[in-house]
Amino acid sequence: MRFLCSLAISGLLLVLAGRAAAAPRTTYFEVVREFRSVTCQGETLEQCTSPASEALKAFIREKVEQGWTKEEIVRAVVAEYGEGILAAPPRRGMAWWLWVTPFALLPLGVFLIGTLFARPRPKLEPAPPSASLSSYLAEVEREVREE
Amino acid sequence: MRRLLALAVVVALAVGLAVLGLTAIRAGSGEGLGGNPSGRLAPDFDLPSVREGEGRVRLSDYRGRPVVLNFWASWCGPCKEEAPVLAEGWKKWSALGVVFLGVDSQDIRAWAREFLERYGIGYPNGFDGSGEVKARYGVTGFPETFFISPDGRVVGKWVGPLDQASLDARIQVLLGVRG
Repeated sequence: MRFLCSLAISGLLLVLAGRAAAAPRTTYFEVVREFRSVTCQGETLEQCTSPASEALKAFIREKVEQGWTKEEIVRAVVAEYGEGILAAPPRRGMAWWLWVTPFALLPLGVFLIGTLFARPRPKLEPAPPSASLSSYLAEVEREVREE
Repeated sequence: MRRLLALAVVVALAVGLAVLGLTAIRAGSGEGLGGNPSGRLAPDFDLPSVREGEGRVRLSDYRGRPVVLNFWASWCGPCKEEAPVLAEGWKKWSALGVVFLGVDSQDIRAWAREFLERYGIGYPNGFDGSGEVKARYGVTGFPETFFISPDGRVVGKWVGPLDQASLDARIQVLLGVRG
């Protein structure tokens, strides 16, 4: 009886361990958004429904169900299709410039826009005496002369 | 003066970007086969083999022999239809010196190996995961087959799955048996 009990418990533990090993460690949607489509120009893998994209989606689903991590799946897909399949360029090598250049060019752009489209600042010159002021001054001068 | 300098910088940037773009377009198109490829030199390629431990597959290694070059993928339905025809054609024509080569594009290598095994395809097959070679040949769908003369020129192209009679006829043209 004791033997049968321990056998049943061992069996149950084995089943549970097997399930834990195959339990998904990421989701399909978390992984699929890492890729662009190689057949539909300008579309993500998720958007594209070409047979090539559907095959890759099936591969991703299969690996998620087998308990692969997101990193493992991404590595496997890149090994097959090359880095061009990634939706975002990797942050190293030549692709690193794609990330840095926009930020590096931003101050230059601001300076250029500021210089090209800024309104010319008017030069400050002494204002000509207004008509009322000159007539007032003439009046004062005349009164002084009369006195 | 400052405005003039800014304008000069903008013009220089625009010219620089245009030059970069044109260079990228030229590099992308390379020696590609667009439109009608007949009579044009088939672009050489150097790909890892689909099968493990088989080294690399290079078109230039077969210069001097007529080549049947087939583009395919394991997920492609019409390729499954065509595979037995190619396997049979390879057995028949390789004895007469015709080389059969495959380029498996945008595929999962493990699936491609299963495909080759299932259909008994024993000729060399290169793995073109990124689809770069496919693009250079101007292939827009699978399967597509190129018939290449011993001097490396494209004699003909077949779009879609080949049947035995069409394959035989094209090879006869390639060998100069048929006009």
